[in-house]
Amino acid sequence: MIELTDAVRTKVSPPRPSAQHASIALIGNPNAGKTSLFNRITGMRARTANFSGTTVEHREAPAILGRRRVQFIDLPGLYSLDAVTLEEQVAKSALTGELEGAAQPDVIVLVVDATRLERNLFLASQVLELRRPTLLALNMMDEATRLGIEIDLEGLAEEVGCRVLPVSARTGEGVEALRTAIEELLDAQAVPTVESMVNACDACGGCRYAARYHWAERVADRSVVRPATSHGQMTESIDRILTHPIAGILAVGAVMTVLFLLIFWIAQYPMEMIDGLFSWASETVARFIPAGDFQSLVVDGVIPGVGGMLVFLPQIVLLFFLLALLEDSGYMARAAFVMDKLMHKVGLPGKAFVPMLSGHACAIPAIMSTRVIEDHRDRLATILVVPLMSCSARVPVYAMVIALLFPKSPLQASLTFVGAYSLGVVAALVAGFVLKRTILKGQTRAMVIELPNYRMPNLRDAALLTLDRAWVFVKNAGTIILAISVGLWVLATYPKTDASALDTMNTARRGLGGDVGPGGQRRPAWQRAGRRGDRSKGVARTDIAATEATGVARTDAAEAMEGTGTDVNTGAPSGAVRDPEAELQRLQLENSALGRIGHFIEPVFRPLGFNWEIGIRRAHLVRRARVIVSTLAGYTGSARTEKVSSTTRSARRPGPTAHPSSASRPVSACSPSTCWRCSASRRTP
Amino acid sequence: MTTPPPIETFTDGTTFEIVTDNCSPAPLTRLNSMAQMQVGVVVDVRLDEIDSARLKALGICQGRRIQLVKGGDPIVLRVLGTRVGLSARLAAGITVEPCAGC
Repeated sequence: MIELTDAVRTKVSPPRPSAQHASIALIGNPNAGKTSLFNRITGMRARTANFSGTTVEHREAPAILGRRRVQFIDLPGLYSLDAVTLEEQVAKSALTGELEGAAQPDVIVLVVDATRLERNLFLASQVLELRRPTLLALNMMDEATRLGIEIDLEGLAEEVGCRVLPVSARTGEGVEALRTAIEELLDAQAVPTVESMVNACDACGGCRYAARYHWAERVADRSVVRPATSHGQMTESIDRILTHPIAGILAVGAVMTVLFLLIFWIAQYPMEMIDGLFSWASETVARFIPAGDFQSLVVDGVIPGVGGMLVFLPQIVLLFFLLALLEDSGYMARAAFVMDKLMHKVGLPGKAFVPMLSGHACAIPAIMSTRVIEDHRDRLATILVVPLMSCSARVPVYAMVIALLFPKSPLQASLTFVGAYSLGVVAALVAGFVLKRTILKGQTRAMVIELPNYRMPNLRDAALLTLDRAWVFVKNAGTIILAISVGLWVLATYPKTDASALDTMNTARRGLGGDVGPGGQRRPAWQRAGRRGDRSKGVARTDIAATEATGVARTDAAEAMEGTGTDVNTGAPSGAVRDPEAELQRLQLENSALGRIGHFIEPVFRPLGFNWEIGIRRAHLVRRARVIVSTLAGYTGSARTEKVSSTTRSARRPGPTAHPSSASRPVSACSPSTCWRCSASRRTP
Repeated sequence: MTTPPPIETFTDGTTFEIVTDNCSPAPLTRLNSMAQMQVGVVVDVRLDEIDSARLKALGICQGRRIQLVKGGDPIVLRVLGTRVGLSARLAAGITVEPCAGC
């Protein structure tokens, strides 16, 4: 992931604004509403980028101020500029212009939370001392008014030596005035006139911070005419439950359960749509491209590759979105707070909990959310263990392999499934434990975390952030997944077994020759439906793939049945079941590079009872689960599940047995036509 | 609590008077041993450099007034008008002079 974020840097970073593009940096404490304000000022054009040579993320956006084109930069939220953490170092050097490849900002907008003036003024004092043209945006004025806080704006401006502009990022009030003020300051370039806090020391104790805090307290005291009348009472009463050692942990469980239910329940609809869209695209494209390798590349390689990635996008987007909402509401800090003690037992900080749990939905958003962990060793350890969790794309793979291993014993199969799932968690915890004692040696940083007041999360900000991150995912992960899909297609297609025979077959398959099989007979309807199902497998959704996993078992069952003269799916006499087309495809796969690899590694998997085909599937497990799903779907499907996919496809449509959580489907939901238990039991003659 | 830390002790043996504004003199205590909702002033932070810096950035530093909101592990305290969660291990490294009147 480090490499990935580095890649993000080089690819996403827009060219540095040239000399005529003035740059304006926003800086402020975490939870000061900095990003909200940034979105308010710049609109929808922000993009996430990393500072050159670092993994520190910031957002930047072009904007027009008056007749000037400017670049806004949203620096990471900080408590101080003391260059202890990487974020602080980078933010400080960005402000002073020492950062390589980044121009020094022409104007600094200091975002200060009006409801927490005292705390925010500490960072303010450090920023003001940089003596750069600075504006103080006093944010959350609406909230301050609600709490009964009254601030003497002129008095405050005099104390800090720069202009103070009251704004509310939430309501948009004062944002226009702020834009005008920034524009004026770009011309005037007036530097703050505040005295240096280090020299004006009236409490030179041992702590060099003391002077600054005294200053912050004094300024806050003088400026706040009337302090809050009802300060955070709601927050305090909610926290009595949410930070309780037992109730708090139960609450984390409940919140995460709801989060996961929402992800799987809402995501299934767009996933189905994307799935359908790609099946349709695949069929349509096949009609316009003449049969042959190019058609196969597009229809079996590219389209399923892109689809296989995009089909997971709804889940990823939802996870990003819900995590952003949780973060904005202030709940994430509480989750980290109550989980800290437990997480310390495995050597990870409390802040690692939500990322690790999110890893069960998708590792990519989970890894991205590890940014909140300050200590780089703790963060790296978390990043390394998150991918061990069984993400939703991996569940169908488990189901498939388990169905192959224990076709006859539902109990063994379900226990194995639970075991495989738990193994992810255990492996992650053990890996974390080991990492923190070996290569990432060092005590886990003890927790210091601000518990911000709860507030209504801003949907717009969360949506903007989600769009941003989703785009980065599509661009980076997407291209890799696509490349692997195409690579696997090449491996499975070359060298050719019998080009002419294959071409004839392809023609038949792609429907150019109508629905006419190689034998010249019109194929039965279930076979045609089967091919549609087959096509869609490339863009397998989790639960589709799960169903397909059962499909493989059913295929085995079907083959087993052949001997008895009955097709398990149709109940029809089996004379036509082993059609020459499937046979040829099987032969092609066996002779392809992928098949040869399969044969080569077969001895390794033979003790498990796997043959070469399952061997190559297993080997794919080292790759991204997402790719595995499309591989399994593409290759096992093309030759073997054709005759069952009609049933599996129709089986996922009917409502009554549909389970909202696709992840739990293989074990918990039992529909006669999809459940592997049932298919396994059917297999017994 | 038990033995006051050395920072409170004068070594020359002369008598001295503790001057407090409206705070009654109280024995120094560890932050995590303070009573619920008790207010105190931080007199010393004995932790490694990084942890002290992290605490200082959040306002837990010599001379700051803090209030213990919730004890146990981790603790919650109020400092600079906001609430901060802190693991007990860190809290044990912070010496506080509790005061009754402030």
